[in-house]
Amino acid sequence: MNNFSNLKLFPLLIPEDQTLTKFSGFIQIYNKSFNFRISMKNPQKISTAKIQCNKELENLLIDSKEIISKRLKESENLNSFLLEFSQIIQQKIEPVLRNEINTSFQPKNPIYFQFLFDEINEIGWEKIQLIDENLSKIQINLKDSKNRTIPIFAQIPPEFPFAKPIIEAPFPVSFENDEEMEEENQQNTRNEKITKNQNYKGSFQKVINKITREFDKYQDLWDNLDDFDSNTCVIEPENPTLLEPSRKILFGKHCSIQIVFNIKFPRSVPSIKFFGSDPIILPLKELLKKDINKWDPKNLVRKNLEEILKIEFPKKTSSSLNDFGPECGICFGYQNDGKSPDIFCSNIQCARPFHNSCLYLYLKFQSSDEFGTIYGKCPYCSHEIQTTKPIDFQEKKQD
Amino acid sequence: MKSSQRLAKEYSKIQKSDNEFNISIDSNNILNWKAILKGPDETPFKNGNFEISIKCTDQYPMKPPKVFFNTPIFHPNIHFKTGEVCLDVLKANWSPAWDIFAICRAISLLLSHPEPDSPLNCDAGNMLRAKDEMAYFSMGEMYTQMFAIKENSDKK
Repeated sequence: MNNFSNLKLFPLLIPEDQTLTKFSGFIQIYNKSFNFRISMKNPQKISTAKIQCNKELENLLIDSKEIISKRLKESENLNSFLLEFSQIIQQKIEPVLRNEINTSFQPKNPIYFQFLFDEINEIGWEKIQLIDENLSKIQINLKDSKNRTIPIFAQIPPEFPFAKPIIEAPFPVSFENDEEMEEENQQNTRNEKITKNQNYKGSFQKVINKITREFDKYQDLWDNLDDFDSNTCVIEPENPTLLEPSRKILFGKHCSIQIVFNIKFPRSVPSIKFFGSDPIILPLKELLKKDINKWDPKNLVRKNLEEILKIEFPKKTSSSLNDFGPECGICFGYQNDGKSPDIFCSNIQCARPFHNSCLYLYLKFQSSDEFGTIYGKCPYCSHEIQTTKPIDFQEKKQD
Repeated sequence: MKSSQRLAKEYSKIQKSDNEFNISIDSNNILNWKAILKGPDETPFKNGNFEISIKCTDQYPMKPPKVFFNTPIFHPNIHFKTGEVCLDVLKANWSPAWDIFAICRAISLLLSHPEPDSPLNCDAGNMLRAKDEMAYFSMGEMYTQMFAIKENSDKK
């Protein structure tokens, strides 16, 4: 009678006769049900079972036949097999479902819209920058005391308001906005039928208030970032926002400098990395080392850097980008598989930047590499240049 | 992939410039390009419009593209029948620093500065080596008249 316990977990699976060797019906995974039949010669011997299923399920399980027959042999009884079986289907169907959710509009509970509407009303429509077509992701633009825009994102699950929205404030530091949300959530589940006047009230607004309260802590950092964005030529991040605490700026001939701010003490010495041709960069490194004690934490980071390095960072003008751009001299791109150019011609007149992978690929056509290092000539000025084999270099590129 | 990305960048740059060689992408394949070179003054090719096709491989810019003249031209370094071009930067002296625009400019220069010592068209080469400018000019002008000017006026 062991087999009858199936009926609890798989209520749509029904024995065909009293011998309990054949079952047919449906198996339900998430919101999908599949027609399926299992027949055994002997009810005690699950390993002899045969499974028939509909086309959809068959397609889904087409490459898991081996696992299924393995599970059949391993399982003690029908019940344990069915559990394993449904798990296999579950694994297979998850990516499929995910695609469907992304591509199709899923009908939602009317209460979803009602609550969302109330939430947005409370936040204020003028703060909403963007709502996606599924009404599931909202960009809210917040303003700080200096009228700077700080975008935050709210991801709303389909089960909303019974499941909590995920608020992404891609801040330099993470926020503990979970506590409050958790409370809300618990309340929601306790009172299954909530009406908007009772328990559920503006959790968005609470989180936003909390985030806004934190803004003051970042004023100094944002002042510095703003200063860089408006007074220098920022090349990384491509669309700088106040949320990324680092800036890579272009100065002089194909050279750039990356500054990662200290979030807690934005005016202290940031971590600095130079990119460029050695004859240009090395003297700057020396200067920085020598005069680092002249750093004045009262000044903006840019001013400090300019004074110590004795250079003036150029402003963002198209001509400075065109003539001395940071792009790789071979692929003409800046980012290549997420990497920026990291090898520079050591001829001070040329100073061209190259991606390690681009230069290696090119030099490989000219000469062979010796112990992982390859020597050749700069494509622009024919000055000697060398590079090493990139770690993730794909051999197939040479074919 | 990399080659298309670079060519796309070149194309957008060319479109921003005044595009003096009328460079365009051929038949929806970014690897195939076309350009129209104007015959420089003081050459037999004056007033002619010469169409060239530039075919890149997916190894571009590591390897040079192949350049052919679609319009027949009487020039020592250009094969009269196949349109093949003999130019050092398209062969051994290639470097990724060159781009499509620079190639067009180099070929345009080649039209006014032929190199008779490495000829693909021996007749034209011999004329120049014998310093028979008159023969070179009259042959060149005749073919320019036949192919590079007539073809163009037909199109109009």
